[in-house]
Amino acid sequence: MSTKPAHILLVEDNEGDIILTLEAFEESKLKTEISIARNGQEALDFLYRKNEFTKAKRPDLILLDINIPIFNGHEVLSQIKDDEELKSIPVIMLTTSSNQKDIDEAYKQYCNSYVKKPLDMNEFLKAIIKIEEFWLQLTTLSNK
Amino acid sequence: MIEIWSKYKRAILANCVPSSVEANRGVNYWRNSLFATTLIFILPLCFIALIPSLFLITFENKEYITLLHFITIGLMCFIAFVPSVKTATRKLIFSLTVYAFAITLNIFTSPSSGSVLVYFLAACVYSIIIFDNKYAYWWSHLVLFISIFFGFAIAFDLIDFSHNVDMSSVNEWIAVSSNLIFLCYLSSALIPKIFKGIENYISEQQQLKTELEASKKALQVKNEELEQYAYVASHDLQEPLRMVTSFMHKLSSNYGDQLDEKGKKYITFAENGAVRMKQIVLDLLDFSRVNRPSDELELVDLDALLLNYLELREGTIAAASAKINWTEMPTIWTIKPLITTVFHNLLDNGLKYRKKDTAPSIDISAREQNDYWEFAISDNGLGIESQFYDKIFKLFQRLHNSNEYEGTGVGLSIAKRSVEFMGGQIGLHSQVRVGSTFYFTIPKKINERQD
Repeated sequence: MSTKPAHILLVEDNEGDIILTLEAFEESKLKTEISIARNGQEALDFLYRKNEFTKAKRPDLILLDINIPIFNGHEVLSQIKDDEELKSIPVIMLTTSSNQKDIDEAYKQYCNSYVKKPLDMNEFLKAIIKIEEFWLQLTTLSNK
Repeated sequence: MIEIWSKYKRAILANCVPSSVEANRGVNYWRNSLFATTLIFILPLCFIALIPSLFLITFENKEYITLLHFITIGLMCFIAFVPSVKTATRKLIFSLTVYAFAITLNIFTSPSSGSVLVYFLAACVYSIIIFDNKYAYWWSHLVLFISIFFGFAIAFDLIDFSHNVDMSSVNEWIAVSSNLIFLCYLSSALIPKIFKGIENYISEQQQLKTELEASKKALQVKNEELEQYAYVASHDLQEPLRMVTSFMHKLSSNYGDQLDEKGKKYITFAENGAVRMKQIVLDLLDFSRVNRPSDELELVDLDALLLNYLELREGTIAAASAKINWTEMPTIWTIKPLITTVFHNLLDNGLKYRKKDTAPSIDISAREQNDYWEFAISDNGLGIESQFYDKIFKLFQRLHNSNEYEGTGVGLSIAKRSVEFMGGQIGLHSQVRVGSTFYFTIPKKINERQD
């Protein structure tokens, strides 16, 4: 189990943010496998193995942006947490929104944590590393 | 005749209802109005009553009654037509005249028969109504005083009642007048309560009105501030953005050869980010501008508006080999900047969300209904699933990633807001991979407002 890389689904539409997140994971020592969904529809397709994602692997962790096309982060989150199969996957909201309404709604829909994307580059890297350390090293995740 | 009557009414109203009270229509305003209306109708009646009065002179030799009658008419004319007398004074003269008239009648008819007592009660109640609440008991006191006076007058023969049909006894008088006094005091106690309630209600309403006015004003100020804010933001945010783009550009042109592929990619991302932010800021500014009531209605030739659009988007249309067709568009009264925004946004979308392998073809039509115009813009583009019909009109909501189709998700929000601002509705009907038809209505009633 421990040698198998953790599988993270990154739901993010901004190419710049995708690059930054990927690079932050690259810098860490931990082995991770990152899949990318570029909008809410793709995220759900990935999780349900539909359309172009029929061979998708179940992720261990989901990083979910709120402001994404088609279905927004809140809608994707509530779908995941409503699904018996998927609800055990930790979902971390990773977003630029510091709107209290967004934060409250996300927690009401059982998001596992809410992280504001730091504007500063170094802070962003630190945040990603902390997420990784906490969720992939310290925490023991469900394997169902 | 009608003209004389309304002139007569206006004169009395002007004298009896001071304009300072009229400003806030409190209970006092209505008291004065009631008083003025009473005068308006009492005066002609006074003259009509002269007929039996003159009859009395001729057949019964009761000249003093006719004399009193003329004095009363004189007083009524005085309080109705002499300007610059306080309304309170007019009312006082009126009430006292009525009391005096009642006293006179009481002397010359049989006091204990009670027929005149109804007159006293009416005078008392009317006076309570037209004067301020704090004087309510005075009018009952006055009746009490008059009753006692008559009691003594009857007991000690102070007044010669001999010409009356029957002589009154003190006991009878006390029995009848005590009822009158009771009714008067009852009125003095109860009528002010009604007025108190009405007064409270009116002052509450007045206060609500004042508060409403104040918050309306505050809202207006806030709106102006917000617009100013959007304006400043749009200009001041462009400045630092320009710094980012220009120095990124300088970086890539001056040091591009020292950068590897990754470095160049970073610069592209930074530049793209700045360009997108600029677009978002501009779109937000457009969005905030929709609510400006300063835009005026004008006749807009939609044919000309569409031709102008073709000219404006000539490059885009040619590049996509797009076709935009319409047959005869009307000229309508509307807000030009808003209707232009609506057509531009919907047509832009029709051109933008096209199938990759098909040249866009857009049909525009107009249909006249009873109360509104209905416009339809159909394309042969990507189409939209029905579950997203509401969502696409929300601010910043997009159905495509920006690397597939450029945009900030503001266009349809602006179109919706503009249509709704003009009093219309917007909606769509669509089939995925076949095309979408956007409908919107513009009510004609704003046309009538203009006429």
